Amino acid sequence: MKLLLIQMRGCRHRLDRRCPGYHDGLRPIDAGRRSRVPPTAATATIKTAELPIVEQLRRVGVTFVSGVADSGVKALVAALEGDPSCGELYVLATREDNAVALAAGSYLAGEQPLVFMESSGIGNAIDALTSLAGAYRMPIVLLIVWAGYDGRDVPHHNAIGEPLAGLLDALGVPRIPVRLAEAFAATAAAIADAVRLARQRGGPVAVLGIPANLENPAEEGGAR
Amino acid sequence: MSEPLVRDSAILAIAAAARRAGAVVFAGNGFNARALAALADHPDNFYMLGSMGLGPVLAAGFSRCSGTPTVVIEGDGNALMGLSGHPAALGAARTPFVHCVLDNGVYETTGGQRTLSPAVDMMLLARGCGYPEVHRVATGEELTARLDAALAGRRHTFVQVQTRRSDGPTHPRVPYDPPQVVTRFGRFVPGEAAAE
Repeated sequence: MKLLLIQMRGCRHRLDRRCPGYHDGLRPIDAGRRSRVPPTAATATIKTAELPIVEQLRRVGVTFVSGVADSGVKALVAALEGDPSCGELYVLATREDNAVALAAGSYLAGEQPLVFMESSGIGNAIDALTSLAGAYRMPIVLLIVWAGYDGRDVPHHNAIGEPLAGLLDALGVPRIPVRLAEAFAATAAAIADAVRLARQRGGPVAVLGIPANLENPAEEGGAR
Repeated sequence: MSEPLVRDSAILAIAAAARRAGAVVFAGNGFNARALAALADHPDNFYMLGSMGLGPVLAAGFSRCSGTPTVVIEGDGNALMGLSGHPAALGAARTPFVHCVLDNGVYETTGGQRTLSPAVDMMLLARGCGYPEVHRVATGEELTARLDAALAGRRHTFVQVQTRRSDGPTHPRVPYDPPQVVTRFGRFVPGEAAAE
């Protein structure tokens, strides 16, 4: 119950300050989907002390999310899609560069954006990350699902997963690795670090989410 | 009747309509941003210096989060490069939101090489992406009328502006570096520090 109250307060807060007339001019929102209220008492206890993912994002300062879906961020996207707070946090993108540019626009309006993608999306995003987010010194945080991590994945993922870290280094984008676990807390903590670093240096910072099955393939039957 | 607009006249008409409506103007990289900066510099302008094709999504992200009436100007080369961004921009942007494509059929900034624009039905594309208002204009009067209506209304609007290649002198580069473009942008809201 307390969690619900926190969420509702957050929603009203954002609506008042940034989102007057949210529905104006936007396409109709699927009311059924939006009205699905997340944590009942039962799920809250099963998930131990975890706050809803969207609330965790807000607590680390994220106020705008866009990206291109990947299986590694399934829970995140589901949480964003099911967010009862009028859906203003999440905007769909068609490509990773579009997501970065949407995020850049949100930053100009005072938001702290997060952009999620799979490692294969980095190629699509490079121009946006360099000539927009980098050159204009915008603190955009990326959450990149590291498909192809350490060459432990299928060949087409390894082809970008192996050079990914070096590529980000060459682009001057700091990276913070984290293991993607069922609980979102570790990812949220990495995002919090990335938000701080991005604002401090004025530019994009990447959280590299290592899929659990790739981090410890022997134990968990990785794709190798 | 009159012959197609040149870029400078179109830019001036768009800037004037935006100022009347209190709208911000995002200009895509190349001659469009240069012309806007040279002819109608204003704190409500945002100049793109790179990221070709990402103007509409950048503008839409701002529109979404600020609720400010927003106009974006880009060339046909930009619009074709950023096609996938058009539905994303439309899905994100509030209204009024006006997407103007200055269509001269060439990459004029890089020397006038031809684009594929003559082979593409831009209006059909815009409709397909979901723009409820789609128009093609060829004169300054038509352009002004469409912009004033769009900025007074609540429907996402796409305007294909037929222009011809300029024959006058070109404008200098945008005189601000990228961080200056941000700080000069009068609608820029410095973000709050992270909560924890």
